[in-house]
Amino acid sequence: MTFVLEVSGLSVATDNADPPNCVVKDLDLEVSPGEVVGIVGESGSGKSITALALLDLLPRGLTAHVARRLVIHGIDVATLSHGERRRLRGAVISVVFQEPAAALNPVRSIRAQFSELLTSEFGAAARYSASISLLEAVGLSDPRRVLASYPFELSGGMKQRVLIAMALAKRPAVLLADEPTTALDVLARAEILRLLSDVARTRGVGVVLITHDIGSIRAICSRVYVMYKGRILEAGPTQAVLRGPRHPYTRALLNCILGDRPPKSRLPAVPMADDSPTDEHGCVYVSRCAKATRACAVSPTIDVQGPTGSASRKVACWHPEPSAVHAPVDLR
Amino acid sequence: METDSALREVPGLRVDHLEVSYRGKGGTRISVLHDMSLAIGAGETLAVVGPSGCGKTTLARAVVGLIPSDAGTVEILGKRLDRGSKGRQLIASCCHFVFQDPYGSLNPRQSVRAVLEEPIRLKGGSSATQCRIRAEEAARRVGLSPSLLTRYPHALSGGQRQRVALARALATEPKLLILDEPTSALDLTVQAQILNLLLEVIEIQRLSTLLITHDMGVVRHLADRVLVLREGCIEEEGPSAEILENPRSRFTQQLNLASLHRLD
Amino acid sequence: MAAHTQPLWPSRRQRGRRSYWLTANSEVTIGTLVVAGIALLAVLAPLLSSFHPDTIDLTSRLSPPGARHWAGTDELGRDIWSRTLFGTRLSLLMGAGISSIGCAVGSLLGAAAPVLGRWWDEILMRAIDVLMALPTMVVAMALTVALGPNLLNAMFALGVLSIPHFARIVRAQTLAVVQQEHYSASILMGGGKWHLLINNVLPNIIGSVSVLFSMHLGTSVLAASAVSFIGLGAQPPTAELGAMINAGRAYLLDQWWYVVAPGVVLTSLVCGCNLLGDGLREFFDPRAQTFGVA
Repeated sequence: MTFVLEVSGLSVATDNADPPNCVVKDLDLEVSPGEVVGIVGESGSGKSITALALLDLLPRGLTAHVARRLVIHGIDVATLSHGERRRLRGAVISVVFQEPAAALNPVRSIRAQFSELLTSEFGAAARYSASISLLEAVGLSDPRRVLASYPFELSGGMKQRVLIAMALAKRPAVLLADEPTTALDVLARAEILRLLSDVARTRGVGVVLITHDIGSIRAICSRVYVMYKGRILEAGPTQAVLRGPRHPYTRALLNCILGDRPPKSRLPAVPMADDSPTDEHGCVYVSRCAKATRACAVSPTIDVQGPTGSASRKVACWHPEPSAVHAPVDLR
Repeated sequence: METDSALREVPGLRVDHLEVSYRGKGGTRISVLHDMSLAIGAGETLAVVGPSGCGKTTLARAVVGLIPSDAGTVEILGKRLDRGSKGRQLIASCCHFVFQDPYGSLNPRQSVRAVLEEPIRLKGGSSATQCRIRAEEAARRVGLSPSLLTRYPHALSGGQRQRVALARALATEPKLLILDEPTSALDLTVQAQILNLLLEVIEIQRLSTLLITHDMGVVRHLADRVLVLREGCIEEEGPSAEILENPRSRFTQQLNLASLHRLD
Repeated sequence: MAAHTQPLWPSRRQRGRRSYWLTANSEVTIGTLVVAGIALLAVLAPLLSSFHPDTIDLTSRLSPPGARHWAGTDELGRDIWSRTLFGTRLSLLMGAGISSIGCAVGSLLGAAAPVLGRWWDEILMRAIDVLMALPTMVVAMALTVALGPNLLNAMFALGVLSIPHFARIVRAQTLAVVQQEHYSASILMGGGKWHLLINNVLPNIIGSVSVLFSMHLGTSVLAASAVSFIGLGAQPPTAELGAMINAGRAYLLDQWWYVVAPGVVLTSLVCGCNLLGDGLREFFDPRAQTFGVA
């Protein structure tokens, strides 16, 4: 089975500190065509940095390294020249960010911004009709009006749809969505998630949804990766992970969901994260984990279960919960 | 019933026929809130929910006077709130507003200790030592370690900043608490901690609370009653269990479903 | 960490291309060094000049730069180097004085206007508009003539006329602070106008005000020299950079050295102030993120 995105051994570290501070360490990720994969984590987990690293948009001071493989749409990035790597962005791998208002130029009309995007591919006449069809594909009911508008005249949800249309303009194989719904209200949120799911299904695009909201993951992602402090702690099919979490962090996260807890009850809180630097050699979660033992001073190996390929369950823990489903977490 | 007895006492907040509008293009008035009335008893939490643009943030700000209202009255603890310095004194003495963005609501040039001491100082009547002690006490109540008192807001995490905002609220000993999206900017585990803290404080001090949020999970967790707003008007109102399980209006039903991420 | 692997997206430098690295820091350093250097010269003027600036020596009038007179002499035989040093003192004092008056009064008005409310904002800003509408040099000249042409009056006149410059910019900065939530929070906690000004506004605009001040210093020094150039500031025999350049005009073609020393010092001072202000502005602005696209 071919993956449309295959990352093996991605690390991002600061340039100048000695020893270098690892923001993301040894990350593995696979996305199949037409699949929506979720990366869930809290702030500081490195999930957004991962997206930036795949696009060459890291801020100054951070550098990405790949230990083993980075293959996008069958192209091994290591074999490309610098110019060819630059051309991957937008054409093969594309992105939608959190703040739709900040991603659009406030003083130019939507039509002008689309033109700018499509100049390399279409002549002047074809650009307008190409823009219309792109906007129709993302579910905007009056594309002519939208093209004639300025960003401030559109709602948050509409702006995000425009941005998704722009991201899909060059027919990329992979679409990264970094917190695409966080800045939107609940109704727009549901629409955008539905749109991303449709895009994956109808166009065969591999979508990576990066978010802190487990509800979004549950709604549209077939597989999920749980990140904490730059490492993947647990990965697997969404239903399996959310019904039977094996890593203590995943369990703690799910306990914080307000789904069916009795109202006004005390939530089981996780001990506060401290600011001390993580020990590079041990488990990153050790300072907050109730199950920590001396063995956790060494970084846990990844325990893989189930069939190989995308249906496998991976856990990075010395004391994972057994794989039999127990006490299912009800997310109603 | 709990709610009845709560209302028999002086309501913490009472709003009658509030109207808020602003001047649009060409001199027309655009109404943001229309005929808004609500009441919150002592120890009761009322949640106001709705999509963005429905006027819930405007409501919270109009209640405390940050936005001028065109008509209607606001009563806090039975006392009429009027414009001008008397009204502001009433607000300062018995209510506290917690903003959504913990970074924006803390003065970047004030240390945490100064942030906590400011409201105590403004109230007057405490010596410098008393101010310091009360500030430290408030910090302790919310679980902030004393080492954080000398830090500045930019050196704190989102959860820590919101704790500082809550500690500031506690330091003023309010009777009415207004929370504008208190946890929407926070991580899931941090949100759990803040919600636990809020529950404890509201219960112990019997605070009347006005909770503005778009997250139905938070509503279910904290609120006794719910008010659903749609484009500046009241769509539906009632006890939270009823609104969440059996809403009468289709709009509310849509909101519920969207919040819990069912894409059907 | 796999230190032995190549970076995923090698930057310009990693690919072996040279890149320019004029960092913001170097502007502040150069600017500070220039201004501090000139200020030091001015302070040590009595020690560094072998002649008194007013000593007339008609035997060596208009002599070119040499061992005895490093920058030559003027038409009355006075040593130009000494006069330049003492003149720099005056220019710096004048410049600092003008900017201080403008900054202190202008910043206070600009910060107070939004805090006091709509009515006061309108009144104060219209007053500032009136002041701005007056042509600076013409009014400075008129005021100076009316009050008596001397340095102190010139400084006062120019100081008053530089108030609008500060007031408008500080008002814009204050408006930004007023929109922030900590301002509303302080109002709700019972803070009065004075408290808001001192506690919320001032600490958050002090950065921009210092940038404005240092950038304005150069302009002030130039303005003071201009006023003396037209004869309304420093009166003879006082040594002042602008006055010296004015006097040197008549001798420009044959006795070129007359204007060189005061001209070079004046230009360096103004450029130094501008660099300092530029660098400070970069320092106080939130650092712009640049992505590794190279």
